[in-house]
Parts: sequence; structure tokens; C-alpha cells
Amino acid sequence: MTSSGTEKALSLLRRLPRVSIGNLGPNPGAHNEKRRGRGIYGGKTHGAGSGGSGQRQNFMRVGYETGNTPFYLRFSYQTYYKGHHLKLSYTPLCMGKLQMMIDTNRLRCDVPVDVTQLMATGLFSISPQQKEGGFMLENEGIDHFKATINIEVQWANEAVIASVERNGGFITTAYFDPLSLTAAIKPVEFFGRGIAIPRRMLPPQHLIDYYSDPKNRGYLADPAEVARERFLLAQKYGYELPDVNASPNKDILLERKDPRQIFFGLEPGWVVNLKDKVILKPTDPELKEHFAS
Amino acid sequence: MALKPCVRQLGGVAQVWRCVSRSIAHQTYRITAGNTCHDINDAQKAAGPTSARLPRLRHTIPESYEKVEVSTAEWSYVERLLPLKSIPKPTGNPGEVMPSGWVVPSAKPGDYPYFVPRSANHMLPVYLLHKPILSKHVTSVKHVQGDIFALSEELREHLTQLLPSRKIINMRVHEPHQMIQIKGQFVTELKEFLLKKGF
Repeated sequence: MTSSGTEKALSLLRRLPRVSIGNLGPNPGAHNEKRRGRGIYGGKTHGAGSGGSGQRQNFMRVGYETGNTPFYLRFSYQTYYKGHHLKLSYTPLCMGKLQMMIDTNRLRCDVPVDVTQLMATGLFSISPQQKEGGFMLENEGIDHFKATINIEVQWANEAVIASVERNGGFITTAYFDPLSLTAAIKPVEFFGRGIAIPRRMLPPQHLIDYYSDPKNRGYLADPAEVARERFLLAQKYGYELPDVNASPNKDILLERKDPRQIFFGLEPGWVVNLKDKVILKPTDPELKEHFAS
Repeated sequence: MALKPCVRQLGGVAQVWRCVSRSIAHQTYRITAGNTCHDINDAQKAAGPTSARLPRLRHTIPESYEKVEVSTAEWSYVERLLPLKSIPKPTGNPGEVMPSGWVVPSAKPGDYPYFVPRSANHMLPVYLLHKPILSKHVTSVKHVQGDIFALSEELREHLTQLLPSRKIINMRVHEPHQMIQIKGQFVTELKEFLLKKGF
């Protein structure tokens, strides 16, 4: 005769489903559920690393606050940098460095200086993909700036403009959209792609005012107003504006780009063949009209 | 303006064709080799002025686009854009001080028991090494040719004169690497010293 316990067990066995991985579990206390520390300085080390490394100069990652949620992770966003992904950043170029490049013949002054010429020195790197717009001229060294150049940058303030014009030079601020900038900074690479030179696009809404202002020597401003502003700035800073016509580099100083032009002397729509050393120009009137617009 | 990447490259002779962009008002043209093209004009006419959808595409190249004018008149403008293959040599009289503060070197090997040439960029080879966070600054003079120990003694003397309060000047002379390292920040002082010597 079977006992009640055995009977119960047997009846249970009859009723229960087939034993499988899906219906098996460990006994309580079989698995250690202790959480393993991660990282050399974090985890379960109470913010001191292992083996007394906190006593020596083994620094934890910047911002780490020995375990609690750090300041830089507490706030998912801040209002002060709203729209930062839409704004461009510019490579700073001090007037002192510009003067040094001219003094050491690193930057050629027999042609107008623009983004292409500055990049050709090999001293800078610009990545339009990282929302970099080009060059901005800085004040450092404006007192020692003595060169007479025709320069085109993306941003310049009043003092810088005065220092360039005081020496008989000309400065223009011009906008390059990312695709045009990619072409402008590495022309050899661009010509190797076999694409027609694109038209330079106009600045976005938040920049169009800057480039239309004659005070900033914007490339979209009226040349007559720019000339007037040159005269006014000379009076403000107290120097006499040198006469361009008397300068031996008159042609270089007066060279300007069309707002749709990327390179001096080369129009949109042309294809430059570096291998055969020729320029291919479109003849179809529709194409010509498009590129000229 | 959205451009569809539809470039195919074949070196040499190029053909002109158009790309379709999202906004029909901003069409761009790319000159490349290839046999496919979206002929927007004919399709637009077929679709009609009120059609909001993109017109059906045809794969042709308008014959007139293939005709190009070959010219070499503006080649000088292209040559302007080509960067130089090597760093240009500065011109100027030895010892001349330029407006930026850059000085033309005047010393020659033989003037002193040692010689410190300029770097590839024509600058003085004095560098500041600094490990972030730690307050460890090391000034390093590199490319020292000749009797490096003589130069190190002169530098020690010069710095002792400049900073009488400092009792010890920690220096490391690495002869095979042609380098003198000094603990601290002395870039300006060493550059002035070397310029006075004419290096």
C-alpha cells in the first residue's frame, strides 16, 4: 500500500507537463546575484579605483563623481546652446600669424588671398562636414600687421578691417556653403572628381544680414557703400586711406569674385581637366543660363 | 538643396548630365561620364503644371549637353589654385627682423661649438611639453648638433642669471636624440637666447 505522500506525488506527475528547460528554475540561493563592478575606477570601488590607486595620481574620467549621477549627465539639454547644430564655427586666424606666413613666404601675396590660398599653406584644416564655415580673422597682432593684401575671409571685426585697410589692402567677408567650401579648400581633389564647378549658394537667413552689411565688407553689399565705409573707418581710426591706383599691385588688389563664384577666374559650370590641362565649358544655352543665374 | 549622389567617374573625356533634386527649382548639373540621366523637362511637360508628384523619369542624355568647348585661356587661374609641393624658403637678409617678429637666421655651423638649425617650418625648435591635469611642464630644445653639453651649460648659466631665486635647474641632455630638456616653462627665454646667438 502506497503512502499519501507518494500518492500525491504520483498524481502530480500525471498532471504536470513534460519537464523542459522552460519550466525548470534554480533553487533559491543557488545563483549569486551580486552585481559586478564595471570600469577601472567605477563599479564597486567607491570611487577610488582598485588597490589604493585613488591615493596616487590615477585620475578618473573627467566629470566622474565617484558614483552618483554626474552633473554633465543630470541635465539632458540646456537652453543656452539651443540651435548650436545650425550654427557654423570658424577657424581663428590671428593677424600676427597671417603676417608671419607672409614674412616667411608661406602664403603667396602675388594672388588675392582667399580660403583656397590659406588652405594651400598646409597649416590649417577645415572640415565643412563638421559645420565649419572657413576662416575668421582675430585681433591678435593687428598693431604689427604691415602687409598690403587683398584678403577674403568668412568673418572679420572692425579692428581687423581697419588694420588691413590702413596698409592699403582690401578685405572682403564672403560666405561659402558646405559643398562650395569642400571644393574651395581642396581644389585638386575636387577637379579630380570630374564635376562641373558648382554655383556658390547664398548665405542662410541668419547670416545674410552680416554679408550684406558694408561695415563688415560683406561680398553682397553695394561696392559704393563699401567704399564709403572704408573712408569713414579711416577717419574713425585716424589713418589716411592709401590710394589704390598708385599701388604696383593694383590689379591684384582690385580683383573680386562674383557672389556665385568659388574660384577666381573660373565660372560655375566649367569642368577642369587636370590631366590634359584643359577647361571644358558647356555650350548648351539652357545649361549656360542655369550656371550664370 | 538636396543633391542625389549620382556621380560616376571616368578619367579624361566628360559628358554633361543632370541630377534630379528634391526641389525642382534648384536643379544642379554635374558633368560626369555615364549613360543614365533623368530628363526632367520632357517629364514635366507630360505631367502638366498642376501635377504635384515627381514626373516619370526617362533615361536619356540631351544631345546638346554633350557638346563642350575646350579652352586653355584660363589655365593660369587653375595653376594659381595648385598648392606647392614643398615648404617655400623664406627670403631676407641674415639677422633681419620681420614685422611679425620672425627673425632670419644668421648663424652658421662653426660659429659656435654647437648648431641649432630651424625646423622644417623655419621656426625655432623650442617646444613645451605638458601633461594635462598634472603640473608637469618640460621645455625641450631639439635638433642640437655638435657639442650639446656646451649649449646645456650656457643655458643653465643664462637661466640662473634670469631667475636668481631658483636654486636648482633640472636639465636632461639627451645626446643621441640631440635634445635638451629643462623642467619648467622657459620657451620665451630660450627662444630669445637662441635668437641672440643668431640661430
